[in-house]
Amino acid sequence: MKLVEMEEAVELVTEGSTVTISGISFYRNPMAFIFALERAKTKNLDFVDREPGVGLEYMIKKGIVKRVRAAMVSLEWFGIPMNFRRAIERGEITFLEDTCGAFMAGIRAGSIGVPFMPVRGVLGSDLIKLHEENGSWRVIRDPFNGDDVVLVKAIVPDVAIVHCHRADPLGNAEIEGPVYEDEFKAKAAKRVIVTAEEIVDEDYFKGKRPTIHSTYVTAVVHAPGGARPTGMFRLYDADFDAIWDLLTR
Amino acid sequence: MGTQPEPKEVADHLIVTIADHIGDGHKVITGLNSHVPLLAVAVAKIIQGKRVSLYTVAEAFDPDLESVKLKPSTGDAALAENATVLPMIEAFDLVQKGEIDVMFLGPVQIDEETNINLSVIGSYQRPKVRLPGGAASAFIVPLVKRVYFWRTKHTPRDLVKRVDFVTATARLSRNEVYLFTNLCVFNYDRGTAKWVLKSRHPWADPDQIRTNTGFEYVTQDDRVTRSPNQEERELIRALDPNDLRLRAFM
Repeated sequence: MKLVEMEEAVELVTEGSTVTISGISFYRNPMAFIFALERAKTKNLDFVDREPGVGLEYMIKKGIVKRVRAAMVSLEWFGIPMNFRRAIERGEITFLEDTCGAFMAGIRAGSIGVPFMPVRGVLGSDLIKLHEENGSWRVIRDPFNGDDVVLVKAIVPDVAIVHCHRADPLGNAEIEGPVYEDEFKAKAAKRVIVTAEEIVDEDYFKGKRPTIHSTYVTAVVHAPGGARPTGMFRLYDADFDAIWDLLTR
Repeated sequence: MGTQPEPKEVADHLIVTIADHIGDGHKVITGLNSHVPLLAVAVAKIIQGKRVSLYTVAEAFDPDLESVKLKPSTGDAALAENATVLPMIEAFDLVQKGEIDVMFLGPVQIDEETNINLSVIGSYQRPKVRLPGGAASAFIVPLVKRVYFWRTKHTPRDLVKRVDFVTATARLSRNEVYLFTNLCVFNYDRGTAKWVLKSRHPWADPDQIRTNTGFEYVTQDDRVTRSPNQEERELIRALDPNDLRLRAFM
């Protein structure tokens, strides 16, 4: 039984932790959890993700994160996220730019317990120098064919927070529609917090493969509407007006 | 000096120019903030009848584009309502296997060597402008068979001799690289390592393109892109009734 209140789950994220969150840009961000982090006055987090948007921009606005690693931080049609942009230009946070395929390789390596994963492409990009200095990538010679190849060090976040459609009290969780790398984030992270629109009983998952298996999950929180104002597939759409208010007020 | 038409005319024209370059049977990926490419794919499939497999960042595989109403996000999860879900991580596995034909990217700067910048204006550590980041570009630009760069502002500050930061490059690849702008279409020639002006839009004259381009290029012949037909214009308007595509052209 891993079902806990939001306030208890938030305590799993300690100062200086590296966190990753579910979703992308305007969809399935664990917003209820992020609002709880804000209430708990949690600070100084490291953040790693592929293409974050609303959730990260809000955390930057509230001073919750200090270091960010992502392939892109975008509000798409609304332009460059202004808190993200300002915080970097003023040197208030550091930003390590990633690229999607490399993030995927790194989180996959973390998820299966190997030290690194090769990724194709990327060669010739100035990102390589940044990551070699940071210790997160290394260019080596492929021992089999002699070509240069980029290795991505396993990404192992301290905490993954994943908002799902439903979960049982043991932590088995199901996501409908787009899944992004959420399964890999959950497997890679040391602790996993599932927030769920609905809590179902254990019978629901019998004979099924959950999107995220309970064996990876530390805590489950019942959080109906927990992605609002970002969108939740088939339950509610992204509320673009509310998002704009949230990020600019 | 040609006079540029209204943003709506430029947008729809560019969308159709891109659609004309999508081939029958192509496997195509679209990312976030990609209203123009998504509409180009819709025109290619629905009006031009090309068989195109579309992998969206929303993870909807080949969504029914005819029923789409574009939102501010092209990651719109609702695209998967009537489509199968194919996670982006698997689409990018196909990229690594060399099976994807086309990726669209909208760089802020692009230079004479096919280097693009989506990272910073100025220095990386203390940028004058921090841009959103290259997303998949560093990974994907060398790997897809055809890279389609699009830029709605064609000035010497956008098409430059050397980008401030190389977010991604096709320099080390052998793939085909196109650059679609509000003035013209360039294709990168691997033999001479130079951009070639392939065609210009009806409102852009060759001198105007020359003055607005910060790198040297070769002019092959003086072809002019065609204007959208009525059917194409109507489809674009139906899929984007709120004119979200125009923001990039303002």
